[in-house]
Amino acid sequence: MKIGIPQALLYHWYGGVWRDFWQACDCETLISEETDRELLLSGAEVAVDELCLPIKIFLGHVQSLAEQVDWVMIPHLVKIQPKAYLCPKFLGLPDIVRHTLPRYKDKMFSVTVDVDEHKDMYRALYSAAIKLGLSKKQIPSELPRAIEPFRNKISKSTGISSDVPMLKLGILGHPYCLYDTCLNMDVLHELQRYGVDYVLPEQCPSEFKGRGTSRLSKELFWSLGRLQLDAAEWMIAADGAAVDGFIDILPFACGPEAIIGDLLERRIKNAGIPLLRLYFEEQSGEAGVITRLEAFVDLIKYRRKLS
Amino acid sequence: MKVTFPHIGNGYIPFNILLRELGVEPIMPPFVSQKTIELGTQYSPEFACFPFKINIGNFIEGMEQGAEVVLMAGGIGPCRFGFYGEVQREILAEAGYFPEFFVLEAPKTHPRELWEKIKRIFPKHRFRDIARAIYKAWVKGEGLDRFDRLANRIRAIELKSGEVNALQDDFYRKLDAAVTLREIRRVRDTALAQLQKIPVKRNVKPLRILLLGEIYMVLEQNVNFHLERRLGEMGVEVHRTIYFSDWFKDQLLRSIFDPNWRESMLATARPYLGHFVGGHGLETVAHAVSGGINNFDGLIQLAPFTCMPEIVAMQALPTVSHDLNIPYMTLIIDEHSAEAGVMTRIEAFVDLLEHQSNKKFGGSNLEVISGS
Repeated sequence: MKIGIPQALLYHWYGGVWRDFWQACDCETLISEETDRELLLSGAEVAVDELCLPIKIFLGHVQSLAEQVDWVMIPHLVKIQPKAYLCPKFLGLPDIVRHTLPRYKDKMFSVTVDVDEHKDMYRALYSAAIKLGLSKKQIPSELPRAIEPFRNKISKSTGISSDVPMLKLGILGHPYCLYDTCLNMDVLHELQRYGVDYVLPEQCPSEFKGRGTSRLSKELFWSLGRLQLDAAEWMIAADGAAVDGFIDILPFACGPEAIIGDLLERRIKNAGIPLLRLYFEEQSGEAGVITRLEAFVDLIKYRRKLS
Repeated sequence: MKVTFPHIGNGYIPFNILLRELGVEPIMPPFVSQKTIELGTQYSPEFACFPFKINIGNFIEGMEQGAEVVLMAGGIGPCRFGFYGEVQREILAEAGYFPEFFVLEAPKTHPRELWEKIKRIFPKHRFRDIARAIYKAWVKGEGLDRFDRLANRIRAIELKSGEVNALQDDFYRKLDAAVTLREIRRVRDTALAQLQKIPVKRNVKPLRILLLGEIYMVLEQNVNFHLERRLGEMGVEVHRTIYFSDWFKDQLLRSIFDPNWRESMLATARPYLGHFVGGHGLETVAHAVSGGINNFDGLIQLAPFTCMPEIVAMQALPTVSHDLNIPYMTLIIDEHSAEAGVMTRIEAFVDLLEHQSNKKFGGSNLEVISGS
């Protein structure tokens, strides 16, 4: 049996686990190619305009896989940590895919993760495997310890020689915006070309977990939002990353970010740190993005010189 | 203490009596106007949903009239509404307003804190006072919904156009002013009786349209361009899927006495949307399916721009429409929507439905057959 895994959305966190799990089940896996322009447009073509770019990209990946495999895995991530959802579009993802790509609807299976309903990643994958007709013996007894695909990208980015005090930027954004080089026009690589160091939300050390969100008077109910707030707290703090500037990478009209972004923006502003917010949609042009990025880096360099 | 609250449809009528009965002075913000929308957009994040922005406008206009406390509802996600209060507080503080927020939801730390807050804000907080306040608000809210439900059907067939609207305005005014229970019931019963006496056209079969979608957009007539009235004037019978009193009944009473009440709705929506998506997304799909099954002529989905649950529902509607053979239209509203544009689309949609319904009955209009 050949199982296709779209390299989109939270693949960047869990892709390694998914791939290794299905391989441990003796299934062949096929990971879709990294996003490119053509795939992005093919996704945008089938979706309603109102959907955000990451979901459109996901649809593109599903289309590119469907013909080559027996099954396409649709991750249906409801809650990956207690009392915190992902965005409603993740909750409705299997149905979004089914309605936009009706011709492949019999080729799809979803893996529903909801930790508050006692369905963690292992149980979700287990029950999906049973539904696909695998025998219990074939299924591994625990989740494989896989390296998340994005870790490779992090190790590439940091640890550059630090003889000269380098500019350090804090990057904020959802994993599928940061690690999809087609979605974000490869801005992280562009930053490296300018000789700028940066830190990513996932590098936030565990002692900062919960520090940003505890300042709110009510529990935040989005996992990715919690991560952004904690990471920003760490990046601002003097005993943390203490960055010179922030870049927030997000899709156009992202719902949760409209709310979280406002909280983030105010904290960053109060800390007196510049922030560049880059929105991406299918019509975004590279030249515009790069110009803004260059101007922002110049500004930060200038600020550093002044102080 | 002076307490203000956000506008949502005719909710101000029950809110006013509720607050007055609890011993505080209700400050009703002016009805949503262009100025409210401008104030709201000025201070809100660009991609926040439209209701969020209107709330901000309401709060500022309420505080300009001297309100010190803001009454707001909360939630536990994943719809953004649950986090409105938190962000709105920060936004208002930045704009130089520092109201106290009273958010109706389970508190983060301890229920005791909530009680302390209630005691501090509301002078009349004995159990008896609270129960009476809620009961009065309930009778008003339920009366409003009973009236509106009927009004939406009669408006489509009234002989002299405008009669229902005039009666409705008059009823709202009188009901808002009524204080004692006896008065409230008398106002309600008189209005309902008058409504039923309005002369109507006989032998017409008006188009029936189901209005569904996001709760705020459906309820707030000043934001949805008085869609119910406009459609009624075109001779369309509007069935709204969301009424305040229903919502209240479902959320409070049914979750206590009939915890599985959502099951039937889930089952209706399941072929098209298999999972709860926050907000009213699942309800929208369930209503659309029931609209198709119950032979409505058309569906109109209302949603604010960037509303996440409604976008998911939007994705399912073409399939529902195709399977159950029911035309639908999605109307996304934000601060840039213009009345003329919206009305042109609505008129075109109604024309299309009329054409379809004529075809269904052999090409001629029922009205003509009956010779009226």
